[in-house]
Amino acid sequence: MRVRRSIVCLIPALAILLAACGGAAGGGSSEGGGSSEPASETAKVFRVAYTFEPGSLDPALATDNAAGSVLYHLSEGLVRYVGGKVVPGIAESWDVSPDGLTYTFHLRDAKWQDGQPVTAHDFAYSFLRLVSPDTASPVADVAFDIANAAAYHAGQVSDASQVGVKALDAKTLEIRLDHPVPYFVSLLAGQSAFYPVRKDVVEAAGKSYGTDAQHFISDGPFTLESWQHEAKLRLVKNPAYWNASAVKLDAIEVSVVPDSNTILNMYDNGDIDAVLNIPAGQEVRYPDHGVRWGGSIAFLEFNLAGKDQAAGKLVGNLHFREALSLAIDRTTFVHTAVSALSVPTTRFAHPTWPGTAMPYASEYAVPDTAPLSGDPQKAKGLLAQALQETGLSADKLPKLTFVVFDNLPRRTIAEALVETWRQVLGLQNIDIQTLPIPQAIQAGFQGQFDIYYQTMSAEVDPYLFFRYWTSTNGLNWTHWKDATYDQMLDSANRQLDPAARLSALRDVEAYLLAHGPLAPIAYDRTTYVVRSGVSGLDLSTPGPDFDAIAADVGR
Amino acid sequence: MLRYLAYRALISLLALWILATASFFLLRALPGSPFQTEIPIPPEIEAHLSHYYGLDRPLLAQYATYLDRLLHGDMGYSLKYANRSVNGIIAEAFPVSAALGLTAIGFAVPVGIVFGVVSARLRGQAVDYGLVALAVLGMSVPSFIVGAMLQYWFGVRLRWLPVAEWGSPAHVVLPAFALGLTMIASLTRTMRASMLEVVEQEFVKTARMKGLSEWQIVFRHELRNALIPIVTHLGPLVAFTVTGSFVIEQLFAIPGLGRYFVMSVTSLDYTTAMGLTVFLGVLVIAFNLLVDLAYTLVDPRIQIAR
Repeated sequence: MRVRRSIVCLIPALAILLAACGGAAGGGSSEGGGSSEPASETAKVFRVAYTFEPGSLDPALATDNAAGSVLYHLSEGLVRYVGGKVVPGIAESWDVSPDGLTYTFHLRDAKWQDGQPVTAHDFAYSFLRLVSPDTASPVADVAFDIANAAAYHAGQVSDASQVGVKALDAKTLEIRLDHPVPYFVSLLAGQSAFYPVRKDVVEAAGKSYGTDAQHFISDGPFTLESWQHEAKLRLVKNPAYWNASAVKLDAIEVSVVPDSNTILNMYDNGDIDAVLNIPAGQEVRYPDHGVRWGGSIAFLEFNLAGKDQAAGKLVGNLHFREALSLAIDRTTFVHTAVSALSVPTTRFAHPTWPGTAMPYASEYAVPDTAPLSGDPQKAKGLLAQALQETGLSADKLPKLTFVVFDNLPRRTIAEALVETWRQVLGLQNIDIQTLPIPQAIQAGFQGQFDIYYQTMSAEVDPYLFFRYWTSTNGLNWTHWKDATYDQMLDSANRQLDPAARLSALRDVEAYLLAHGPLAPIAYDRTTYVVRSGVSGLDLSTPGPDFDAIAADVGR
Repeated sequence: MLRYLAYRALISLLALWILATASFFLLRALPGSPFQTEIPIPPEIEAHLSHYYGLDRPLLAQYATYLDRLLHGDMGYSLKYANRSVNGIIAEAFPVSAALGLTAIGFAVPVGIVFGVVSARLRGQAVDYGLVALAVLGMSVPSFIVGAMLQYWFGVRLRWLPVAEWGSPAHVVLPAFALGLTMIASLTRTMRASMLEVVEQEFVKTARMKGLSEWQIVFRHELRNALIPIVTHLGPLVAFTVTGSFVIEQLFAIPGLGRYFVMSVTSLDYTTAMGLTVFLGVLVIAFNLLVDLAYTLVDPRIQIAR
């Protein structure tokens, strides 16, 4: 009797006790969920959710969008994106030398959250740390335009003073580049890696810098009050920020909610103020939703060497690749299989790329781009030509492997394309291989594919996208090596006159379209919804996922 | 007893070593690089990262380092969450999963036992059919459906409870209920079957002949014997529940271990995945030992052999 009672009663008692302890521990480690809620009724708090948490808030280690958005609000770099335009940040102004190689930034009076001044030495330290081999930054390459940065990272140059970053005095930072980079200031504004860190704080934190609220220092509009891992980050207004009077919010709360339908439920319930990325199809529930560019380009990559020699013979043939590309009715395909919001394309010119007077895409048209709806007749002709050139017969074609990520949209995309090629060209030899993301990428690097569905960040300048396809680029796994292309791209980028440069880049794009290993598919767009009463929230691209620095919340 | 415990400790260590070794080599056999995300990073950067984390050393050398660290209780640093230690991740996420899991167990075990007993005693009656139907439903409806329905009704529609997130006692209610429902279902079925078996036993007939009341028979004779399978059930159940449910934690945005577990495997975060596997292994082994000791309390006929 005694035994039975103790067992049956002990379990729930223990559970409740531990639950109480656990709850207290969970709340105590941060601001405490319970106590923040009454406060958020009176204070001005903007609340938003991400499906994943920042991998790290160390600018040199941050890679994901969540980290990018949080750092955008916590940090102030030399410049920042506001409303899709580059505006001064800590740097009040800057000069560029006539050869486009030396940038001199003049810093304003700005303070870290503890009141110490933000100096050019802080930036020099941060940029050197970014490319230092000891930092092991996954994004070190964003700074490789800086003189000797790549060599320093690779260990070929061990003297840090050889790297082209120098504080001339506390308020003047000089950056020397290896080659002219006309979009360099946009790069500084767009990449989290260029936010400053402070030597004493980083050294005191050791490896822990940017892993929690205790090991972080802010020079931006907000400070990091708490970070409950996989749950919530709370950012509060930074009174030491140089432009603190422009900040109206008291706090920003970024919740980590992995399930995107839960995020919608939270928005419906009033627990968050905006949904930054409504799952496809669900936007119809929100009549006042907005649409914006998602910032990536989707395209097909062909492996010219082929997964095996026989496949390479076919995929290596330009007319065969053209036939595959022309067989696709992109308007129908993109809207049914990719997303109703995506914009089909037969170019690589992302609509957000700036031109001189208007967007690059409209200012610099490529002549003879393929029609969006495809051209089945021409595609069939090209296939016949390809078979003749390769000496292959239509009924004995080598097997081709189409590698896609193992998730639902990508599987649908691959199936729709393979079906299109079967119907239009009569091709029966293309197999879909769905792989988890790391394995798919390994297949890419190892050339274990013939066709690959790729999405890449649109970046801020045409050159940044076109450089991936040079012979020496590490991410060019298509085995397309074209000296003419390399030379065209290099000389285009050396043009110092913006119009001449962009016009030369247009020729590069035309060459890539006509000879390259790619077939453009679509630019993605996403939908968002913001609660009425939130004003001043900036969602323009390029820029962070959201900019709440000038936002206000009325309830 | 002491000799038995020493023997069990030795066996447990062996089991842990096998687990640690198997998880190390199986994880490392998976193709792909932990540093690659959806948008690939250049090979020279990846090579540098591999070198930094020691992943370019011979596999056996890495295994030796891993075992050595493990013996010192150090599970290393996560490859995915830059510069966060696996020990730190467990220290932060385990209390959350444990609180949620124990709350679920705390109400599911008594309710399941009562349902099972009632169902068995009223066998063939409407209540029995009702409870069995409920158990089948509870077993077959996945917890993410139950969870999503709870979210919608009690969160969005009625606004009684928060839809998701973690922090206050109110946040525990819905996920704990969703988690406990499946447990209630399986416990009801186990308890009912076990009770029905016990009812047929000689000692129950003897008790009835002695003229004991039906409730005395249930509590004094039947329940005690019928609980043995439940106790067996409870060891792994507790171990697995307190280490977190991926589905529930994902749906309700709870910062527990379950999410780290699944994400670490899919993103090839070797150190986190191995650390969590070993941690779960320790718990399962510990709870099984507790269960074996608990048998002697529930049923004095069972004795710990020397």
